[in-house]
Amino acid sequence: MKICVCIKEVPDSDVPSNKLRIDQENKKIIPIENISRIVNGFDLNAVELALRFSENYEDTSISIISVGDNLTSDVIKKPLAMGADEIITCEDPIIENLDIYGISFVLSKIIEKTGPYDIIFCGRHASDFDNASVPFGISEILSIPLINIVKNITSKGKKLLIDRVITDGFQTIESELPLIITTGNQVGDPRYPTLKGIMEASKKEINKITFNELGILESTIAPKVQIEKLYFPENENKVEIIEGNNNKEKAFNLLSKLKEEGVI
Amino acid sequence: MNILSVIINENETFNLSCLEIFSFIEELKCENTITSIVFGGNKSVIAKIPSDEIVYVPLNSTVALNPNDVLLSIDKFMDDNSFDLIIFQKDDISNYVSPALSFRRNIPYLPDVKKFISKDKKLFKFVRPVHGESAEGIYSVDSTIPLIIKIRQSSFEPKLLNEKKNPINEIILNKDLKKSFKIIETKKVKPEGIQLDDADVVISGGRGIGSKEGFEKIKELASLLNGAVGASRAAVESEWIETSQLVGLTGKWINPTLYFTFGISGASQHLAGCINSKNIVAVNTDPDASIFNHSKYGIVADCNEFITEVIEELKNIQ
Repeated sequence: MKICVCIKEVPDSDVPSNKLRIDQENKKIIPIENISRIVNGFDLNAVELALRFSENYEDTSISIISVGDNLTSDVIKKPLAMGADEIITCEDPIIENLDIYGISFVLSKIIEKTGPYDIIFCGRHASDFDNASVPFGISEILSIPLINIVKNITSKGKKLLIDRVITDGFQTIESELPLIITTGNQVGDPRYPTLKGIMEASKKEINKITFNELGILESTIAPKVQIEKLYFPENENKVEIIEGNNNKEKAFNLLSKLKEEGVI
Repeated sequence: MNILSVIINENETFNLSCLEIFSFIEELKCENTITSIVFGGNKSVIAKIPSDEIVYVPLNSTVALNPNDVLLSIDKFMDDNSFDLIIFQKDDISNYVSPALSFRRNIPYLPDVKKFISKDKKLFKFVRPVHGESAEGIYSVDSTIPLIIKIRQSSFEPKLLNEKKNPINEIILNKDLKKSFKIIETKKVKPEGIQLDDADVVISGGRGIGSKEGFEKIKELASLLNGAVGASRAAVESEWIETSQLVGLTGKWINPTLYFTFGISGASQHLAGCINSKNIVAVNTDPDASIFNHSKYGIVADCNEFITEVIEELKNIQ
């Protein structure tokens, strides 16, 4: 079983917006100094599900694929420390300015070059631009079926049984391979890397593919969608803090106001 | 402009939030011909959808709808009809179909559009939130070629249905036999009490609640105010409450009259789902919690102690 997981390096999504600034020139949101960069949260859920699934098979390999420019090797090596086997990257300034179409095309080319894979795992969306589109791009470009927001996978003979999360419940899906799977936080917490894992990961070389090796014509990945401007929306809201000598009084004051206004 | 609006009614009841699409179209302020392609739902309501043309795709309510069949059906429909703008709204099927359709037909796609800015001979411009709603971006696309967008939920007022009925054309659902999978079972988890989507009052708990027992108080207050129970991701991940009650970017998007939060700090991921509430009241021990920046009333207090007092006071009044 040959598996790959596509991951993206993003600014820490739990950072409050006053710790972010906008790089207008490159149309990026960047955390101010000392704020860490991380692997997109849903991508780590994908790594976790891939690891869990691979434990059922004797002969499996998990490759991590990441594209961008100036990737932080300590960040993108985290999945290796969790237990993945290798990491393949493609770094180029061109990639930094691609839209969902360009990124899907680059990832698909890498998947073709290093695959074929039985399952391609991806996070359901990245926390920086929230497009939730690239896995669908890979699915359409490589013509591989996609099942989104998967919680669990089990084998049933040559087929797979997949638990998919829907808004008001769950679906069980039967599918053959190859397959693209996207994941959300329903998978559960990604495992912590062990000390041994971290040591081994730090020794592993990153398998670097250059953009030129992929033989992609720049014209085929010219952006279709442009970001003209990024900004923080102005917040004109003024909160009224309900005062009182104790919680009982505060509760009374709050409820009186809400009643007066007809809210309750 | 020739516009296609895509409406999915997975259950037999009509999905009223789809009517937000038509307010968005009104904001475009241009001459339009609107075609609605409607999957499932009650035909007598569908005939009143504010469109020039209505195409109905009947669904078998006993079989789970496979998004690939919807994708193929719209793709085939677009082979025979040309559109400048294809509009989806947020639901499980549309979230799957809209980006896939964009790649299949090589048409640009913009998800979560919350505002139309302008259209001229060259460019179409829209606003969409990024970085979990903490920032916004003005996006532009070539206005001389077709475009697919998905509008952000609750950003537009739903338009009213027409008084009179329009004729309906019926087409059949195409089954994708090549690039698909088989749904063998669907389990709906129906939470007790009032549903989040319909509730006028929502009482939500977060990390500050601290335990499953703490959520019993949330439920008690919700029932006193005839409201529904909501939760942040931290509370859902700690398994204090079912995933179905998650409010936020990856959960429900709601706009109740009163959104009353206990122990929620207001991460942008959560705010995405509740920011359109008419009155947000927040209880948090941290006076700098970002939820206060979006609240009408704030109470700096221990949320578990405060909720007990609110429940007592409410019982006294009632």
